[in-house]
Amino acid sequence: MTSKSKSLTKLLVVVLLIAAALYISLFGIDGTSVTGALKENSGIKQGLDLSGGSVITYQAEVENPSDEDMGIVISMLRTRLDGLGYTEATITRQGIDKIRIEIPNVDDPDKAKETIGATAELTFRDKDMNVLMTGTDVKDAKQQYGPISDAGVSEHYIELTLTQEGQEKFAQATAVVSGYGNNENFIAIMLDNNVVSAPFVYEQINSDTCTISGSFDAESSKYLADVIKAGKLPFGLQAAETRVVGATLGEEALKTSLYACLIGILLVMVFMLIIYRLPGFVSCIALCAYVALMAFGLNYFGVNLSLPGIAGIVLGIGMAVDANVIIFERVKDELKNGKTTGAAVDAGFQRAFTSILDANVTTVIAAAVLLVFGTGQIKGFAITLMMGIIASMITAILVTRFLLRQVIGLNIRNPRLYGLSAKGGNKDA
Amino acid sequence: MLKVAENKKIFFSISIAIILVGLVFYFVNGGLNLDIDYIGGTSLHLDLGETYDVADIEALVEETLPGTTPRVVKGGAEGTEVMITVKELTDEESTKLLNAIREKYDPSYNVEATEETEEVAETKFKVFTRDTVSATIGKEFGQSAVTSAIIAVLLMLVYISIRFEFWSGIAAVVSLVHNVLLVLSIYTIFNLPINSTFIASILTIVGYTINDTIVIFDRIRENNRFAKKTPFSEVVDNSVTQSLTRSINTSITTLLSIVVLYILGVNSIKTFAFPIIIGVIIGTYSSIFIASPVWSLFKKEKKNS
Repeated sequence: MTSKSKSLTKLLVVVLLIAAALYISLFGIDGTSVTGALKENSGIKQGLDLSGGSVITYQAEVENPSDEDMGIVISMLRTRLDGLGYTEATITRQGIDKIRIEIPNVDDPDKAKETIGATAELTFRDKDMNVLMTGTDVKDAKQQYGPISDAGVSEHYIELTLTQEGQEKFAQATAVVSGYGNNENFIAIMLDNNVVSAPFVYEQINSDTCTISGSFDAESSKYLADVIKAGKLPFGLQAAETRVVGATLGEEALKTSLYACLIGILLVMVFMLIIYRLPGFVSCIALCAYVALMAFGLNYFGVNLSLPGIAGIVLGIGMAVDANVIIFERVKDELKNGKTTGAAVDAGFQRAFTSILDANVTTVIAAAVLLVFGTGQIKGFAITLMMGIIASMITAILVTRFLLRQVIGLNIRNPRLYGLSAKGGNKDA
Repeated sequence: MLKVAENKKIFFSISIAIILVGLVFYFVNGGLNLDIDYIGGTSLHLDLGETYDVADIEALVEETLPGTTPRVVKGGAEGTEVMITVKELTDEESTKLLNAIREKYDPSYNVEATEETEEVAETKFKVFTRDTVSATIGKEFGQSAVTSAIIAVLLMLVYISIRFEFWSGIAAVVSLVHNVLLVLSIYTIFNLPINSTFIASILTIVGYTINDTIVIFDRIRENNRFAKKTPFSEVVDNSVTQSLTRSINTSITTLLSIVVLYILGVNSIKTFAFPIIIGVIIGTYSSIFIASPVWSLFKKEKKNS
């Protein structure tokens, strides 16, 4: 194989690879688990400011709540939101004493707030729904693992510690309930109106501890322990922030922004073609690789795309192109200085590299600080900006350089194709 | 050749003039127009679907919730949108207010039967956003935004000082502060509300300016290495001129994508894209006309002392 056809093969293979990556990243592969960024349900997730919904930030009414207490409160909120049917809601802890709840597609958070704001009511009831005990009778609930009886096998269960009063009530209740007929001798443990568990009782239990066993695994037993403890909410919650975005706003927001991004990229490509000609064409291919990388990244990391996130992406496109502009301007300079095309391209990349590196590192510093210290919206911006910078470093430098080398390998060396005007053009040596 | 270092007084004066005008407006308007994001309060962004009188809305709010001193701003392409800002409301109050407005402007609205008619009602009346932020958390937002900005600036200063020299780091920070002041001035002059959109614009400026500035600084660093005898201000002018095409082309490509976003985007994206456009323009301006001349100014002072 001549070196020329070698270059041609390499060039074509990379271009085809990029085209395939671009297609797959956007549209996925049908019938497989590989999903594309533009797929309606499995594609890029939209932030609430795009899709519509409610965001409520709660502040703990105590100073410096412990991690354990916050964990309990969060599992309590989870139960209540699920109970309301808001299974898509996300709950995240913010800072030390705040909890942020996002409920997609709900533009009336009043119902959610009423329920969340109320203290969870834990009750123990019999078959006729008579209240036997309440959450105030339980001192503590712990997830345990081990054999319950001496001869039993190890299993997951929950150990409740009762108060003095709770112990008396429990003894009385178990005495009564164990006397009921088959399948009626249970005590239903309820959180608000949901039955969490309904263990059967076979005899009176007079002890300050009792266990709830059943077919639990590590996760479900911990969940139940948390929920029981949550009935005794360690502290009150106050809604510090409520934001509602109407669905009308969200409906078209993501589609039009993605559309706008694509048109923007196309315009940028036209611009690069006109100004930088052959290298401009190469940068268009690199830009396709950039889009593919970003689409993969956003999808893979499950980034919630919000308005500031889109701003970060647009800025990222700007910086990706910027790197190529810097390189190509350098190449032009070198051509003007009389270098051969091949040498000019190599020198252009070399000399442009430090400025691209320094510029991007400083921007990464800013993005990293925002990622660590910022909240909500600012974080969204920082994430996409950081991804954009990394993707642009890969595509604008590595991909462009590789492709341009192959183009030169094809002996396409007329400096005018590299953006040099006819006047300043030097004949290739 | 562009003589930015030589004519630095002109560019500095232009910027100082704009900032001074901003300062005048700061006192005329009685401070910054801080949105509920930072001082707490409730805001409703609605599309009434018809034109209306601001005074009518104000009266309606006062009537429904006396003593809330609403601020009502008209908006939207056809002037049918309204942004109502009041002190922090409880859930009941904010629902009451929304219902009162619906009753008047949403003909299909029926208080008793909202649940059933919600889907059926074909109406131009739209609720865009309904936000309530408590004063304490608002203050925290503001503080965390300022703290993170300061940390970011300090770290960048360290990096630039190591890679270039201390004075170039200072120059980059000066131009950053200059940009923030310029945007603040524009916001005070036009009395635009300062909210999370504003933060986005500031972030864009920080990111863009630094990126843009460092590329020019890199050229200065390189040229200065080969031109030991040339005065630094001349090296700066040379470098700015050499990288001018790149500065302009980069701004054009970035502006292309953000302007398309502005033109095609839905309303909330428009309000978001606009300050970013301003940010990119200011960022480009300052990297050429402010950052580099400031570096040469400091460098000279250092040599003299």
